[in-house]
Amino acid sequence: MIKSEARVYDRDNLGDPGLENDTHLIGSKAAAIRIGRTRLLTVALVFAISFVVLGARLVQLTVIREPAHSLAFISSSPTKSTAGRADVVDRNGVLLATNLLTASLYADARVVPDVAVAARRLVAVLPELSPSAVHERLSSGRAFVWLKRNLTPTQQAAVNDLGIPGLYFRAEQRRLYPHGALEAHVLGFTDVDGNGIAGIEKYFDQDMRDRGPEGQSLQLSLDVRVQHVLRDELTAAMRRFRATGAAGLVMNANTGEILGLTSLPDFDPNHPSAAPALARFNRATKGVYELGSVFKVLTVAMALDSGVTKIRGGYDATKPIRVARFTIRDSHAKGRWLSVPEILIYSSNIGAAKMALDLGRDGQRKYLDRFGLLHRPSLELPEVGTPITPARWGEISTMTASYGHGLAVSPVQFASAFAATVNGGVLMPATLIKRKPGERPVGVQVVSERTSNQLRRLLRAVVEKGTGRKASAPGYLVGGKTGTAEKAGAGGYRRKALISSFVAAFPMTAPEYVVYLLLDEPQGDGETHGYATAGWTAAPLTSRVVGRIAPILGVRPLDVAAAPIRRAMAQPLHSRLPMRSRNVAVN
Amino acid sequence: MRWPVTIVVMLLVLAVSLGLYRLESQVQHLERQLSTATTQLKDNQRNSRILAAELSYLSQPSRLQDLALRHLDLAPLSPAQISDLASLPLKVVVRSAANSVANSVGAAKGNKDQGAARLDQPPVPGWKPIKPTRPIKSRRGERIVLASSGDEP
Repeated sequence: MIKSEARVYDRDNLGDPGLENDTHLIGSKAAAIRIGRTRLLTVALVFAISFVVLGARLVQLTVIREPAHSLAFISSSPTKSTAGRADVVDRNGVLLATNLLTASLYADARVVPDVAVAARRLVAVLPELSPSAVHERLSSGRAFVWLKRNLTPTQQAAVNDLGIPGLYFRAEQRRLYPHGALEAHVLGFTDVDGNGIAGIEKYFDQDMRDRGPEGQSLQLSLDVRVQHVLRDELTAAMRRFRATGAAGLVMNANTGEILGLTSLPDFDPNHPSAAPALARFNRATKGVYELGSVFKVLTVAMALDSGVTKIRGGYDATKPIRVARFTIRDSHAKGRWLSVPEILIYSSNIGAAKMALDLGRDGQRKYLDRFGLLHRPSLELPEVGTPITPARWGEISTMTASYGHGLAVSPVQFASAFAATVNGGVLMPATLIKRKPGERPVGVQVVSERTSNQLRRLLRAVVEKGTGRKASAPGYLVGGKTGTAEKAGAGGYRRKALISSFVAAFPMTAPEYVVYLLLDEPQGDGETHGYATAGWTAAPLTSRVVGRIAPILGVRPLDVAAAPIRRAMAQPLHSRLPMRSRNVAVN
Repeated sequence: MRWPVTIVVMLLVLAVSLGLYRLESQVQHLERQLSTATTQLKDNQRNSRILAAELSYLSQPSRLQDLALRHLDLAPLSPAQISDLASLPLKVVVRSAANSVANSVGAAKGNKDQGAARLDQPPVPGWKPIKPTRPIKSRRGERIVLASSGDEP
């Protein structure tokens, strides 16, 4: 039909079959053409739209980046919740705690073909797995069963080499402490999901999460070399004296930075649950103890600073003091008048008690408060003990506190107070975070610089002539004080259960470092003639620790015999003994 | 008139498609490279973390101490071993004495005639063959012989 119509066109309008000629057509023919034209237009439109869509798609595929691509990248990296924590390094940048992406082995139990063979071969590679447990899990028929978390790269390679179908790995973040137990009590540990549970890990939990594993690492004030010496020597001493525990710390006397902090027994933070709960107790910061005679340093400092006595002054220590049902006596009794230097050198309880009485209860409390011994100290650990102060602070408490009984503080707190007596009288807050070079935090002036200078000479005299002679380390001019306290038990103090400690600073001409070492219930041996007191246990320990850490810390050894140093450290005893008997040996 | 336009348009379409195809394949190639590089970067980062942890693990002070005690004759420094340049006594150098020093250095080196010529140079200590007091053994027990210098008798 269309053909015949075309013939009509051809005849009428040769060469130009324009559509406007429709109008010449009439009737049913015209209607048919109109329908045909509409159909043609519709088809053309459909084609045009298709091509536009195809073109747009082409542009989208080539010019515009396909979004599905980048999505795949993101999902292959660990999600935010398991993204891990920042590293922890020591003051020299040695890695103390890090995060490793480890592989954890799981199985799709439906796929494993021969369970018995697979279990046997798997246990051969991972001997710590129990064969029966592996067999049970593999035959459970479940789509997902954990076999072992956090494999080492070698183990992962070994398992891969087995080529057992149905075993898969999943990447997991794992907290690793490369030094094991060395810094355990400082670092603390995390749980399997990477939450800080103790120590620095808990204190800076949110901070370390925010930084992430690639973020800036947390730099501690610790020095692993010092930390090792401390732990090494304390472990040896604890074994030798059969002590139940030990604690020790090394502190920068001028900045309060802690270079080493150990509490024994300790634990491996990689496997914290393997250790008994007692091993996770931080004796150096959480434990509070009646520390004994080391407190006399503070008593003498208070008395000299407040002016209630002079360096030439003294007290009658002929007879023990009897107050109510208590008797205060000296363990190195001289039975005579003692000068202030002698009270410290011979560690006289009677002298210290009388000195404290002169100062009075309020004076003593004011000074102890300034030394920071009556409140919980600030330190970047959650495990910080609150001191135990006498409930009723009367005359007796004043006297006993003067020689370190009836008032329990933590070793780190006491070390800070001691540092203040020798560093020029400034109490610096203890810290585990490295201070910037040259940064001098604002401290509190507790005693005058003059008092501090007097204390340096007095403490040196204790090591030269007194109870602390075994603490001497050649060349490093150690000064310090012994402290032997009886532990309180049911119904009074236990004579055989001692806390023996030694607090020291070196070099005494300008103290740079403070060392405080403490042994819990040491037992004397033949070499110490059965004594477990500080002069026989903690003092020689201090000597060894100082002798080892001083070269590490770059402390210049001094010629102790040189005249300027002798002059600087000269401390007359101001004794009132007749001249001829002054050189009697101290026992 | 119409044919040339059609041909030009077709050629244009062909050129553009070819260009687009090449561009697309280049982009794909680069993307593959990028993804390989990203994977490598991640692997390297992961490996460097493992190595850092291993370094720290292997340099544990207790381990180093144990190794030093077993294999080295090293001990903690004693104060007598520590000094500084300022506390060293000044060296006394007399012209004639220097001559003899230089001579002895030359003698040790086995060439006496050079002694006088070396006055203006700092004296060099004579070469000394290392003679271990006990033979150094490898782990498998074979004796290790130090490289011979030819001067040795």
